[in-house]
Amino acid sequence: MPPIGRSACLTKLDNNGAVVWNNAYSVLDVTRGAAVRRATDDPTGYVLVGTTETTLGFASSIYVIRTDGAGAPLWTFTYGTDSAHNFMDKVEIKNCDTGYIVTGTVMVESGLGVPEIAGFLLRIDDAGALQWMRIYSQVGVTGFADGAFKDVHQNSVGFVVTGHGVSQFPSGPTQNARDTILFQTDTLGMPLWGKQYANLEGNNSGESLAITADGYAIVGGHLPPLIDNYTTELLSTDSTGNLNWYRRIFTVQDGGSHYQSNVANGTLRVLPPNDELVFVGGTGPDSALLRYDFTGTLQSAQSYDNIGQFGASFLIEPSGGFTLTGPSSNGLNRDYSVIRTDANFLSGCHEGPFSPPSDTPPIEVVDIEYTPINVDVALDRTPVVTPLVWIETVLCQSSICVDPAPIICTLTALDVVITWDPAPVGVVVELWRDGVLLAFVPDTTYTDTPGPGAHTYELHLVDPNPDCDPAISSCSLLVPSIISATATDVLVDFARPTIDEIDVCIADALESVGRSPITGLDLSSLTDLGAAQPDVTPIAWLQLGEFPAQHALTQAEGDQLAQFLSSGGSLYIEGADVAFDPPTALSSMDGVVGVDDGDVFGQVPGVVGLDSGVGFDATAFSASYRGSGRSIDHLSPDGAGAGALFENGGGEGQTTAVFYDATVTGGTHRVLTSSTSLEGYDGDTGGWIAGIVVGLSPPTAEPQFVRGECNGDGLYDIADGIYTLSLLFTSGPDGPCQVACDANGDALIDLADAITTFSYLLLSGTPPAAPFPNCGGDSTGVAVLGCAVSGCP
Amino acid sequence: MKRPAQTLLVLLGLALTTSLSAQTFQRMVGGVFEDEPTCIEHTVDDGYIISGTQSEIVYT
Repeated sequence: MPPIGRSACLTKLDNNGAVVWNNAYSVLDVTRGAAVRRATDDPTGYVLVGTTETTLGFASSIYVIRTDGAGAPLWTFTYGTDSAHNFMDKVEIKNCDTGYIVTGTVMVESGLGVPEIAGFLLRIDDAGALQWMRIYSQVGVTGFADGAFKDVHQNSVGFVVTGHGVSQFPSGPTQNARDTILFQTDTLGMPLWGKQYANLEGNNSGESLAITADGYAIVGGHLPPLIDNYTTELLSTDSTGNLNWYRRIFTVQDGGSHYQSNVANGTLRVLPPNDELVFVGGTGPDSALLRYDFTGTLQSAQSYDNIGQFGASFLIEPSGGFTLTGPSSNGLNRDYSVIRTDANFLSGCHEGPFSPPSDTPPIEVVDIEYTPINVDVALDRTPVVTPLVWIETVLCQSSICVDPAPIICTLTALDVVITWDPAPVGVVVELWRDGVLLAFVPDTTYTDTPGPGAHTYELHLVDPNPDCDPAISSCSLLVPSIISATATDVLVDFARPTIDEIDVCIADALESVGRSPITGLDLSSLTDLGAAQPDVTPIAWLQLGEFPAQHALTQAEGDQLAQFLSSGGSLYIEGADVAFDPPTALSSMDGVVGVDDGDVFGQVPGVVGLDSGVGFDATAFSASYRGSGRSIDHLSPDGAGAGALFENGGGEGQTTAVFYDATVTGGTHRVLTSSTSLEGYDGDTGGWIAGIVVGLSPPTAEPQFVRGECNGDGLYDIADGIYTLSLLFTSGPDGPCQVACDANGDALIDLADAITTFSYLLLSGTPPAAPFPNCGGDSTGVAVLGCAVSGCP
Repeated sequence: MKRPAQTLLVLLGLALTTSLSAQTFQRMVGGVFEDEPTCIEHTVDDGYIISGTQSEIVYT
């Protein structure tokens, strides 16, 4: 069987994804294309890197082709060409200040019958001239040496590399053969330091490396022991390789896919402005884009079902979207798939969201060392270039012919003023509110009075060309539902200066139980809270945020809260370090202390409600928790009147919320302190918020009544039976204490109650259920049927 | 607690401006052989350059 012919390809696309030119390149008989970058000395040209070999049995070499902007070769070299070196297909090239750095993996014949596999670095200048090339042998490895380099960046010190090395974890199982490495060299490629991140469970290999604000992030492959099903690892380190955090992500393959593959880098990138980590990977049958925040918490993920098992590479668009590519089957063979998405990973077809689970297995960080071995072989080559004509298929697309116009929403009293930049001539301007067309507006401003609630305005610029899609920009804001002294609750979200989904959720939940919430940006409105509803306990809801963006209460804020509590208010407060901040006047009034034994650190899969024992029973509420996995503090009740309200559902009973009732010790206020956040619960959060309102309010005295005394005249007689019949059959008025009409005590008001009354009064039948004949309570019946006016003293 | 009767105005200047739309697409491009992309990069004219490998394998 003859060898399969392979050629490297460079394909130039325009901004719409249409092919501009397309070439195949053959350096030796078999040539593979691994990565492409813009040329360092002329960004209109390109450098293509890969491996090439002859069909005569010689081992493969690294090649680099420098082309002009039309794909014509300007220079070509091979590196490391000799019979002792066989380079793996996965090769990466990155731009340097001048020239390039190339990395990859090479199999070196040791002469002992067992080759050594090791990473290499290749430094070349802008003309392709070899500056140095070194293969790195891991120190201390006995037996089969299985190392690899996958990605490289130039930094201020030299070059930093990820890949894998032979596991140095001393007590790891036999399946734990290799682990991810981070390796720093100087500018000449001489080793400075190396770290290995040893996961006890299976083999790991860093595939792509990103430079973050304070160090590095790596995405890589993870193969669990004895299970042929790759998962992905994502980890963060500081600038010297010390581990910040580590996530093992299930059901996702990394996009690099191991040293046998020719898939190149571009799989992990840092997304400004919040340093989110975005990488392209796969779900098995589909490719996927995934976004995590800088603490390793999943933000969003989307899969695309017309690509193969993983996406190969992606870009962050200046507009905020993403473009990815990967292999895709057309039914006969594999082609390129190119997908451009918006900022939310949406492309318009063949896609769907998913939510991969993750965990944080124990990781051992160990130092590793390398010994460099020089390779000084570079050969000038002349590639064969063949133009290609390929078929292009558009699966879906949107076509926007004008730029979206940025718009601003401003709240003025109860009006929303929307302003935007002038639209191009001939473009129709549509203003939409909450998905409904509001108006055609030729001007650049519009004033709307939408009513209370959260509203989103969209400006649609509609080009007269019917082939163009509207260019849409939007703004959102919350119009407060109550802007008066009748407010009972104030919501202050210190961590996020804008109203978001959880703020709207809290406000809705409070309104559903008859309260009147307002939102504020600080505590200035606390002193006016509840002015018009003196019988209602005012409650302040404070969200301090999560590590590392939490808000620490100032002394002035502590004083404001203390005064608020002393005046009869109650407080819900949540967030990171909520019980650890520097002491304020609040500290002696909240009945909680932080437990200084570290944090739960990402191991709070759920919270379990408890009976605090001091008047707040939360046993009916438990929920899985998807909040920040970074810093969930342990709390402890402090003193009389305080009790644990939540415990970590996946831990060892650590308390994560404490309720404090100061009335137990002669005070007037109540405080609920939580280290988990309302927005993180997967459950009936609205019901829980309603429960908090009850818990933070004084207990309501149970209404007293006499069973059967339905009409409220103070006598139990025939008139009560008639009143019941009137209530049932002639739409007569409800009794003043409805539960009293439930003569037989079955929590229903029906004909049987009238029969009970008549039977007892006229036929000496069974008397009504308790409370009868004296006043008493029935909390269950009152809860079901109500009792607006107690008929008893 | 101070309970004034006058109206309390709470004004929220909470404006969030985002661009919802960008040009999006899904496209496929390839020939009669196995074509596998490996890397995508922006070009100076706002287009793209993609590297890959063409393998002369035809499935029938």
